[in-house]
Amino acid sequence: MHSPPGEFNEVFNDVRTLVNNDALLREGVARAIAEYNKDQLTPVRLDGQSHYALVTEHNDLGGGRFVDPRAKLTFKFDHLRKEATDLKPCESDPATESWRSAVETQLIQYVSDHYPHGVCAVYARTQGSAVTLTMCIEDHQFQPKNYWNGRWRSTWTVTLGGGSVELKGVLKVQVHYYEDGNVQLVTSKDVKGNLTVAGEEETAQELVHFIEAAENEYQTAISENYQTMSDTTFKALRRQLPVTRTKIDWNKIVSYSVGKELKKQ
Amino acid sequence: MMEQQLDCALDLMRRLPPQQIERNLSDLIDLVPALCEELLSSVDQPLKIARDKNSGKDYLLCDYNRDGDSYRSPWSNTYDPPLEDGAMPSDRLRKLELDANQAFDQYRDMYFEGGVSSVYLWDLDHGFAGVILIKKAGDGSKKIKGCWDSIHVVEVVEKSSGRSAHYKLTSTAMLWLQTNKQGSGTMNLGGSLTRQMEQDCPVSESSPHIANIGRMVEDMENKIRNTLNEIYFGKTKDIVNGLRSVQPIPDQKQHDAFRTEIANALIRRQAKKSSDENN
Repeated sequence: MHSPPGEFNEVFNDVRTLVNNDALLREGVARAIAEYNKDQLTPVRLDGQSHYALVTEHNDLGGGRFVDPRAKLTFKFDHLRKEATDLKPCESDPATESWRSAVETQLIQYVSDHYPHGVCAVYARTQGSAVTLTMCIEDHQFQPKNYWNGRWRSTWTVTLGGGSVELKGVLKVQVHYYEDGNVQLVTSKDVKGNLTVAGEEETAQELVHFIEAAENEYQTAISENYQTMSDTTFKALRRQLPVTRTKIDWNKIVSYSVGKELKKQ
Repeated sequence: MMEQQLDCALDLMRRLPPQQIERNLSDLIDLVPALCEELLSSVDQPLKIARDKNSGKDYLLCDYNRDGDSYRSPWSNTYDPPLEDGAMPSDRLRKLELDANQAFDQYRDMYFEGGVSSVYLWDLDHGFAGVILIKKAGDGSKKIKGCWDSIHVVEVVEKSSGRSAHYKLTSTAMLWLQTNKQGSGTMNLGGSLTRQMEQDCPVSESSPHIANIGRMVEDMENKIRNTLNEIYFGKTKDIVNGLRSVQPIPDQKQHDAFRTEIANALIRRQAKKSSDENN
């Protein structure tokens, strides 16, 4: 579960060699792999579709099958190979589809405006008479040849109702840089906001505007925090140079130590 | 098979979040107990602190001052819990070790303004080896938590003339920073870098071993500190901004296209001007 984005195979192969028991591994690991892929909002190609679908806990139908409401397809997902097979058409839910697709249209535009290789999906479900929408956004860059990988994940949920409703988001970024070392950035933020529900078009736009503003704020704050960490925290841990602004005179240090020793005697 | 397993274990440690080194390491040892000794000696962990009951001074724990389950204090030169027959440096080396601890105590004070340092030496056939440890934790103020650990392992081979020696230094610095702020949520930046260097130095009264080693450690730490600053605060930030763009991408493309157009227009105008001047 702690594999950095894009390095699951390497981690898996390492574990495989260590456990040295493929049957045992297969059993124990199958569930872990599925959990990992869903948690990572893994994108997957669907035959005949120009957009990517996502594999998440929100579109999990059970039995290894997932739904992509945009393509109106369900598919079987091989968690090890990360491939979708056995595509079957499915009907949209009339109770939720108009809201779901209105939000999806806005979200797709937003994602193409802000994410160079972003994938998104909107999933709907009903709880009693209320419609709950879950929006997922994923963007990743895997460059193992340059020893780095990174992934952005956001998941937003809102339950529609009359008047004002609450929108909740979880934003996560993970970056791994490992040329001659091992450096990881792991960050997450919880966001809450309120929305007034009106017509479908209008609400979808307001929703996505809120998401845009919140995600911009998060990204900007991350950059600013980097500056603060560099200016303050790092300096508080180790200075670039001593207060004297020069490197140490080691001869002086050594003779001072000897001097101290002599004084003790 | 064991060697392959060790390689895999080390590869795994390089990929799992460095913020959880200890847990990763203990899980790994649970998985392959046979690799325990090898892993403990080859994977760098954040340093632990212990207090010397005799002097009340703190010292750092590592594999090099460990014997069984006991650790040797560089201040009192005794093991805690006490050992009948623990590994000890020779008398000559112990004297050097004391001096080294004093010297690096000052180094630590000047660069770290706090923290704990310890130096442990052990005898080799043609010289000696040692480890210099430094640990500094942030004070947790301003909603920022952090910690720096350095581990410098030096191998000194004394030339038969006694007038020079060959020094080989392997340094690892581990750093982690965590902030919890309204705008950026929980931000956890952690990691480690390892670098090596070796050189020959003259050994004399004006250039004793401690001074030679001290200079190498100082240069190395300064280099690592700067690299950490660039990598941590440079590269990972760039990667984040490569995953998402605050400015809408179509605007950015338009902006870039406009800039290219102006640049080209300037080049054309410059070319025209020089051809006019030549005629």
